[in-house]
Amino acid sequence: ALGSDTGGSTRNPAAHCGVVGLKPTYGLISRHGLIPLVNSMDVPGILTRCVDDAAVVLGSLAGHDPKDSTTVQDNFKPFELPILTDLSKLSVGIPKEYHAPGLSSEILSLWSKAADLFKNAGAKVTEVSLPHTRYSIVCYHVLCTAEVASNMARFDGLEYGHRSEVNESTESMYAATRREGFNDVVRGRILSGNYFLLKQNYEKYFVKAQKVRRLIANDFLKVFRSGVDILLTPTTLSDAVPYTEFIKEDNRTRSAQDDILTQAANMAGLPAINVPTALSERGLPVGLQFIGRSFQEKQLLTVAKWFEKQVKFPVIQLEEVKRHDRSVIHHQKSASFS
Amino acid sequence: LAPWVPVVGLEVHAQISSNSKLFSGSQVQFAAPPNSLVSFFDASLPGTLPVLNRRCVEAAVMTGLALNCSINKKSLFDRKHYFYADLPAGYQITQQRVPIAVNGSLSYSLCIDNKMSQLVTKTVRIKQIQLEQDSGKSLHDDTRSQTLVDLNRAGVGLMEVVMEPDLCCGEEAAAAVRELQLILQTLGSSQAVMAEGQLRVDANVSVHHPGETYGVRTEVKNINSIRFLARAVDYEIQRQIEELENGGTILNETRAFDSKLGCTVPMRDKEGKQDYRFMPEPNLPPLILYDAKSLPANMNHQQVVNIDRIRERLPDLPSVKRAKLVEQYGILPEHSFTLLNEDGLAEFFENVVNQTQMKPKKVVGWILKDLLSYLKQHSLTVKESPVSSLLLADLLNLLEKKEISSTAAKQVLVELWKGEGKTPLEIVKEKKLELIEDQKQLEEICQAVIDGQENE
Repeated sequence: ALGSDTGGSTRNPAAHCGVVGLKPTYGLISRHGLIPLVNSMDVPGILTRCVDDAAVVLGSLAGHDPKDSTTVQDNFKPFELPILTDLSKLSVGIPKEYHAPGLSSEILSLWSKAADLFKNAGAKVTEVSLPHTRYSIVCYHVLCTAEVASNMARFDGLEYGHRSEVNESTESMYAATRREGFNDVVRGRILSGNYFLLKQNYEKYFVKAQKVRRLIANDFLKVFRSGVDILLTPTTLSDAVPYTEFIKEDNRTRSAQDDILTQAANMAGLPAINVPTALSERGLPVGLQFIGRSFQEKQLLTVAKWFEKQVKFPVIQLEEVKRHDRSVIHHQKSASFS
Repeated sequence: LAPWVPVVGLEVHAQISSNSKLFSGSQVQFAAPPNSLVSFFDASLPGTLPVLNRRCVEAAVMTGLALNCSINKKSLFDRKHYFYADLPAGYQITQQRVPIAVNGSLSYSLCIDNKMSQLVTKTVRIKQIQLEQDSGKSLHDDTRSQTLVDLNRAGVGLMEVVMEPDLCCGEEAAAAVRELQLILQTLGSSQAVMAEGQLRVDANVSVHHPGETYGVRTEVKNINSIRFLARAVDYEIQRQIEELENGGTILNETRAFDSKLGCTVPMRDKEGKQDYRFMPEPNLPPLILYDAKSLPANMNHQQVVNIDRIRERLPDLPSVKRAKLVEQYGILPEHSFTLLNEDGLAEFFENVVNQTQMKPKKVVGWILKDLLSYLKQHSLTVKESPVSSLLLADLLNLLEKKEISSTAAKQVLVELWKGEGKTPLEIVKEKKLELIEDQKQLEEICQAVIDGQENE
């Protein structure tokens, strides 16, 4: 399936549902046709049952699109994933800042086991540091809300979409339409974003956040330049939280928690993938994330495929489900006869 | 009473002459059926993205070079946010931080004392030229309390030419804009017809006493012709002076020019200062232009805009054309102005000169006085003239060869205006306008007249 990933919106659900979720490098896949949230971070996301499938889908989507001026001009060649046998030349980095507050002990232990898996297979596994990680969530909020305020300005009910009955004046129609059509989460983001873009605030917030964004991107660059090929991190802080638990906190808090491990990759434009790893004690899926170098999807997916093979996540077999459903329907049919 | 120094600064929006819009492929056309030239992007449908039109970039570079600007090899696009019915996206894509061209100048000429005999050359500095989107049109239907929105114009490319406040009156403003209009038309970067909205001028006006700081300025919009521009500016200067001399203050407001009443009035819609919340346009990478030095060796020249190539292909600007006319034909500078001021007149003049022995200095008199005044009287363009350059040349040849007098020539011209297809020679014969040189013949005629007198 296709999704979009601005701060983790493909990888996060993938982790909670036990599927592969790929966020490609920014500029690899065209955003033409993708309803924008944050133009400088959005990418189309790919959800599949296995890593090989993700490579296939990527192969048919990637490449320059003249309709999207932010796609790179370089030629893209679809690839097949080799089977990794020799990991001795692979260097895996474990960013220590991703041991975030609130990370469940289950996931922490899975992360550690995964690191050991690579070590035992001969790969070089080292702890690395991405020092500006703790600023990324706040930075993301400033830039995200600013672009949201801008991108939502077109929803005025005039050309398309919901239009309010209120029509004393154009302004009153706009105001009523937008109040009715946007829920408070969106309205909150628009108001924040407009605040950060005010002339007197622009330098303090928007430009500052852009600078911090550059620092975050540079953190990754430094680590990759030091010889690390790929980073291994958790995707989420825990398995999926039940609804009754979830609604105890407001959307902004939940977003901050859910995105914390995924959105730095959007800030830096890097490719990242969630690979389903194991079931939690509650029987819910948990995944781990790999982050790769810009435009090195082949390497990223090759490593992810190797890892997928090692962990043997209990993927739901659709044939079993279909058989089960068929027998249920059969019983229902018999019931109606008698 | 202490003297007042008026300060006038102009912002000119010129619609780029291109087949399609600045960021989308829809067509650019005047007076098409409403909402028939609107792509998904122009209507701001979510998921659409801007793609820069190369021709628009070239037009802006041409214009920048013609106005002696520095062309920025790297320029950026920004979003300027405000809500209005004719702005579908809720923002306009413009160049606020780093525009495509900066620091130029525009030279124009002014005649002192209203006579075309003393021309003075002045210069106004060009602050910058930026590429930006035009908005759609909204028509207010008060009887039905509704606003009708036509997006045909939404997204059409504009060059905004921002001038420094170097002008001092309506006459200067009109002359500067007229020269800019001629330059744009010569370049072909804009057709610059004010009546079709291809050239729009906003005037910023303020007054102050010499030596004091500049006064509060007002912005005057809704000026539809060069004549109205001069009137609007002069009216506003007067209004401000009178207001201040009566102890009042000038508000930093936007005013519209009412052409019927000949005055400026406050505009209803503008309330307070707008914060446009400028933000970089994330869907457009920086615009990079090259010149011969910076052009990478293996780059496909179809993919790049080369400033030097554009400079090489610039046509002669009006000032150069005028100088050539003066040098080549020995006419006066003020004549060259009038020749270039009328579309097609300079070509007409040259065609006549090439087909007659009469000296260009004399020909130009016939063109500017006789031909032009007739055309003006009947509201005709040079192209619509019933008298072709060939016909006029024939007539002037007869005059030059002394076959007719200059009075007779004017009579022939009157006949030629009728456009009945007769040649000047035919008219001369018909009306017996030939000059008689034969002494004996003249004596006979005179004698006949005297005899006729005696008989009365």
